[in-house]
Amino acid sequence: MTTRTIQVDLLARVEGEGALSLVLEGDRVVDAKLRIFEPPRLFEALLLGRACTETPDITARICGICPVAYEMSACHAVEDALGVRVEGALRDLRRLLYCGEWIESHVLHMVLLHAPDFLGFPDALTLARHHPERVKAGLRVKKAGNAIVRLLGGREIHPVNVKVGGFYRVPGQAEIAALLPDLRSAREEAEETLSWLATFDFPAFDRDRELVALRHPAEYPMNEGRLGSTHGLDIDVREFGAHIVEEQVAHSTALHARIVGRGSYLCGPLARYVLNADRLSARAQAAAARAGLDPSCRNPFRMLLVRGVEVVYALDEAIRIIDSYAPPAQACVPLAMRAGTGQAATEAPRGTLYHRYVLDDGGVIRQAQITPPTSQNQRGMEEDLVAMGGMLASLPLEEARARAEHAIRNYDPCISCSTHFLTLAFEQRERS
Amino acid sequence: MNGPRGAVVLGIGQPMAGDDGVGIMVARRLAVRGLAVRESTDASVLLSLLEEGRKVVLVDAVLGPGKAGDVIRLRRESLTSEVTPLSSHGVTVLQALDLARTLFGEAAAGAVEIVGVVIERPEASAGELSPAVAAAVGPAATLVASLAAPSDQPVTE
Repeated sequence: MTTRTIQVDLLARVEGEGALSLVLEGDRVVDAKLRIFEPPRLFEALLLGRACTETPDITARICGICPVAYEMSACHAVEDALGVRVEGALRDLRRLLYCGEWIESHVLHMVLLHAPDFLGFPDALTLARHHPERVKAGLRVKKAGNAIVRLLGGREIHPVNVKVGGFYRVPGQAEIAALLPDLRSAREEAEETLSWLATFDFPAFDRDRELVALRHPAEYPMNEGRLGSTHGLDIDVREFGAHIVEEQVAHSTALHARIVGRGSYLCGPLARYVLNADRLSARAQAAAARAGLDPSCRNPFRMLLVRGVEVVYALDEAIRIIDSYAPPAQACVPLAMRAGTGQAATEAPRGTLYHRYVLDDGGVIRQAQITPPTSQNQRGMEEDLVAMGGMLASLPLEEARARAEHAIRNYDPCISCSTHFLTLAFEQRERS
Repeated sequence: MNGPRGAVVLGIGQPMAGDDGVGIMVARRLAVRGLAVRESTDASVLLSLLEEGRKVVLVDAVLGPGKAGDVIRLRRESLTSEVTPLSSHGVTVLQALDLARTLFGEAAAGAVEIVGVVIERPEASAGELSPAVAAAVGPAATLVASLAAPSDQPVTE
């Protein structure tokens, strides 16, 4: 048997510091490891001894792309511990803020990071040379999302206006209505972008695996819902720890999650869509239909289109919320400290983000657990690569390597939420 | 593209990665002084600003040459050959500049001034600047402010 090893020094368009090792024998991938070697960031330890009201500001720093998700899960979990509910216009504003983050994050990934894979371009710059108007349109859509986060969060990155119980300041009606013209034009451009993305060739790769996401009785899930799956999971988020466990693995500093008794699963846009397509707005459902999507989809490469549908939905939902907005009387609900355990999960752009806090009677954090979507998906990403063995073996080596990188980018992994490199080692062993 | 407005200071970096956050710290210092400031871990915001016709003074951490704390003015050409601003996410400063040139033309890309603060390799979980880099925030802010100053347009944001 001969062995060939190929090294790619830098895999761009992925967030995080790690490496992917593939060993291919004949038409089988015999080993796939997404090795995360970035040092643990110890945010959970950092939270211990801090006031529970600090959680949104501290956890927002975990990620520059999805800080709202961290703020939302942190707020809901602490509010669960304190017995507080945030309703009405404040709840709507939180949902609007989340819409802004979905738009920002998804469009960045779709247009600048992932579309080049489908068109055989090495990077966004080459894509921009060939399709400048598409890239400009994507940037305009992203900008509409940025504007939401900037208005409600105080700034686009690591927003500072979110607090447990609501906000420090809420916008007036005129301020928020000023977003509408750009959101309406962005919605049309998002639909056109999705139609363009739908013309791409998608590798045939359907995998029936357990997909996990929140499901809400009336809404496409963002801030709330029960945790459901394609394989029968239907639990209160407070039961998360009884059904989903995290384990250390030798090749990664990040924990791997699995469902007790069943194994790996996947969260993220595809899971959300499959479980909640009936909760999308009529306009987003129509956009999905035009893009050729339906809830039977199990192809992770088509997650590009799901993100596109979610952008249309987020813009539609943002417009709906703004159209019905009346400023709340108070920017936040009052809090009373008490001992307790609080848990929450919200839907970050990349999937379900779970937080759990144990507070003492002064509201000081004594235990903290944060389970981000990428750690939940790591095992599933590795399994994708194993399942792609036949596909990879049939391709010339450079194409196989590109396809493997492409498959990882399907999940838009945010490996550490703040880092730089993913190095890919691709080893092919050929039977002699 | 919209007509030009005042210059914007764009601080790039990740404050939770120690010295990588120096660009953000410079931007915050200038925000206190009333300059129009944006912060980002992602250089794609540069594209939006250039599309709007804004002059941008970008400040970021750089790896060598020089010693930690040196404040240097960079040209786009030097980013490929000598020093490279760090970017913690998918769109680097260099990529954003090249995209701007491709999408909006040479003039738009030329409306960017780049100031770098030399750092050692950033540590992922360090929350503070090292003493040498912290001492450079003031001089970097002075240089950035001088580059942002105009001319004939009031700074508005």
